[in-house]
Amino acid sequence: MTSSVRLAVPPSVIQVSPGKQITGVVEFDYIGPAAPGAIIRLAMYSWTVADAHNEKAFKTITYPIPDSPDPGIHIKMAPITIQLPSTGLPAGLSYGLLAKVSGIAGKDWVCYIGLNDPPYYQWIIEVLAVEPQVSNLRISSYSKV
Amino acid sequence: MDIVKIEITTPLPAEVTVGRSYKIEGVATFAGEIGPPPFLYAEVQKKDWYKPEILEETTYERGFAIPIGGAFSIKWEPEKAGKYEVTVVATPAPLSLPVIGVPPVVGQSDMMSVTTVEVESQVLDLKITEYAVISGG
Repeated sequence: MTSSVRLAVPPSVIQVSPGKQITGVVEFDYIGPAAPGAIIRLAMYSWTVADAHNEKAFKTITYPIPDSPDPGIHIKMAPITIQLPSTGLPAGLSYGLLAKVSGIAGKDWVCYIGLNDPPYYQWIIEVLAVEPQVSNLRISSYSKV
Repeated sequence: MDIVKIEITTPLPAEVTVGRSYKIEGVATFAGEIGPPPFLYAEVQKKDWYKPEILEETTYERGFAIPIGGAFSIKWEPEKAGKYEVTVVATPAPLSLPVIGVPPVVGQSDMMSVTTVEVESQVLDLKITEYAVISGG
């Protein structure tokens, strides 16, 4: 069984351990011709000198958008779930989320929530250290000393 | 003289958008009689100035007429930008595509000149409204 904790809204910070899943809801207004192959991408990213939006994990969904003349339609996606890698996410670092719409006529559209990105200018995901796990703990034998 | 009279009541706009659906509506009747012909098509010719007529791209979109009155509707969704000439034609038999040679035409409408344009989509107010860590599993 999978259960979700309370949904946070920007710019709330959530804490997650490597290997866990996060989920996000993407919304937008669309004006334009039908886009049967529209792709919605949700990704968790970090900042590096080489890449300001270095994706660490992502999920893409194909979402056919109907013909939408002006004033367009409002689209609210079902929650998109991202599986985080078990390694390569150092504890104590913070991350942002990005949403991207592509596969439509014209350019791609992107929005970010992160330290250098409006409108929140704040990291929203904090990666926790992986806690050591002890399993099969038992007293296997004992004797009088 | 055409055996079938085709009158367009809803012509295509002069400018249409690639990827969007349009309807051509009209009435088709046998000359002097009531009732439509069984086979109606929109003949769509892409006009490229550098191509001779014999090399022009021509496609056919099937239309359906109401048995009484002869009202018909044909849907067209342009896929490329450019200039087109669209004519509704009636044929005595179904056209098998691709059409080779000149199909027999027993009636045709006035020609409609149409320009198709690419319109860039707009995504407004794109945002991530909620997020969470999933627990369990």
